[in-house]
Amino acid sequence: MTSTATSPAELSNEEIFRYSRHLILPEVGLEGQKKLKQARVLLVGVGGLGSPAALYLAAAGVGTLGLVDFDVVDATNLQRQIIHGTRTIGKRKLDSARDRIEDLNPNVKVEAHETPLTSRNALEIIRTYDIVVDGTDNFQTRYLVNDACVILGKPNVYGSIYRFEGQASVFATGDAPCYRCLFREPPPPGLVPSCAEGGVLGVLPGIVGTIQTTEALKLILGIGESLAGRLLLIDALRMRFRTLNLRKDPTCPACGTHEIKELIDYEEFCGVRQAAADDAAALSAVPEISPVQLAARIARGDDFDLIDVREPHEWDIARIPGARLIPLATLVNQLPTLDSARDIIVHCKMGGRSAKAVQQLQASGFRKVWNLSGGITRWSNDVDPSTPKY
Amino acid sequence: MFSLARQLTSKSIPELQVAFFVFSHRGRMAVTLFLPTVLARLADSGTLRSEGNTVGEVVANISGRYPELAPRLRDAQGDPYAFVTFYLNDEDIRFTGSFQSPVKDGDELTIVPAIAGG
Repeated sequence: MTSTATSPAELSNEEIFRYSRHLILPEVGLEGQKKLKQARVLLVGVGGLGSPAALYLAAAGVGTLGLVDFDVVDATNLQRQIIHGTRTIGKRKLDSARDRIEDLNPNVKVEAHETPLTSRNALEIIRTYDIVVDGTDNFQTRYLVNDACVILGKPNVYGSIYRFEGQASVFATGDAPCYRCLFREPPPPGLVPSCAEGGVLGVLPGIVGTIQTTEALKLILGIGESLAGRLLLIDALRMRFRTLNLRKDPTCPACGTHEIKELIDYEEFCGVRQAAADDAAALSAVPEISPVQLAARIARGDDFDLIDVREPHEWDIARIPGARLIPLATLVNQLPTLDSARDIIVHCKMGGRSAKAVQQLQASGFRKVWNLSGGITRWSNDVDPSTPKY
Repeated sequence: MFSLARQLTSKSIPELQVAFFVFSHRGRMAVTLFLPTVLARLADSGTLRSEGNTVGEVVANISGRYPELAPRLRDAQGDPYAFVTFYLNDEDIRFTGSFQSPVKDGDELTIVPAIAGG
């Protein structure tokens, strides 16, 4: 007899033995463990926050875990996304996570949703779950998850991270405030860097993701004092935890006035589409040179200046021979040190910051300026594979 | 009003001198600001001292000292953004009068910007 064949309302002997440390906790006990087994939790994103959440929810014996993700495991994920491994690089995150969960606890049923969560599918997907754990990495999906949870009346266990700091709360449960009560509108695109741009201490999503998991388990078990109505701020660098009171905003369009009766266009709401179009327009307006063309100019012994506008800690990781470091923020002060009579080629990691630098130089009267398309990353791909990528 | 206060205090009436002292020290409530790392790099540190009679004055004081930080705390009109929440001690100022919320000596102002990493 396999343990997975047991009725959802009962625990097999194997399960009783597996969960013994829970069962001897009076606050959990047999009844609590059965509640966990019958629970259905949806994880939106199986990345930094979703990895520890999925592992601990599975270990705890939550009967059904829904996973929403459409990404593939990349080596740069493994510094923090501990559900994945070196062996699963290149695999779909859903398959990688399912393998690990099945190994950790074969009693858990995994429901994989290989799709981005969108206004078209969010209500349908979320509807069948009891609790949502928000482990997304962008504002548009956070507002989408929030509004869908408010509309459906599902608790939204929130966590968010940046560099060394995190936030956690439980939204949309009972009379609790929602994400929009805390932040009515998202910041304009580009103002708050993503973890890919700004970096994140690998263990931080471990701290925040396990706090989200703790809240999800407490909600299922109906024990303790939830973070609903409170915002937990986590500062890993100073190792300070602080709780602030969250109030329900009576004018909140989601949970206050209930103006939001159906899901909206969240990319539009967050200005993402316009920003992407603006970026593309800005990039296309800038004269470019490819890494292969740059290598040819270096080989010919052409006379030009190569300017690297990245940060000093990036310069320490990798650089293109002959480049001079002028971080973008300091470019304006360094203009007098540049010769507008000479050809100037500007580069960064991927080509975005250097495009801005080229525009700044053009605005200051420089005419012979080019952006290295794809930055040092493409230089590594196309010219010199010994240059580390990061 | 300053000249009126000076005229009155010049008469050396003790009560008025006290009143003038209180008046002239208005806007000097010492408040500690806590900035998250994303904003701390635009100032000297994550913990700043400021003063003012209201949250708005405290923020204006800091904005004057750190011009790069200023546009991250308030918009061009000097009003708070919808994606940066200010907590005076443990309370969201939007429910206590926004930037007009009065501050006391020793109050703590925590700035909580929206972050989305996961």
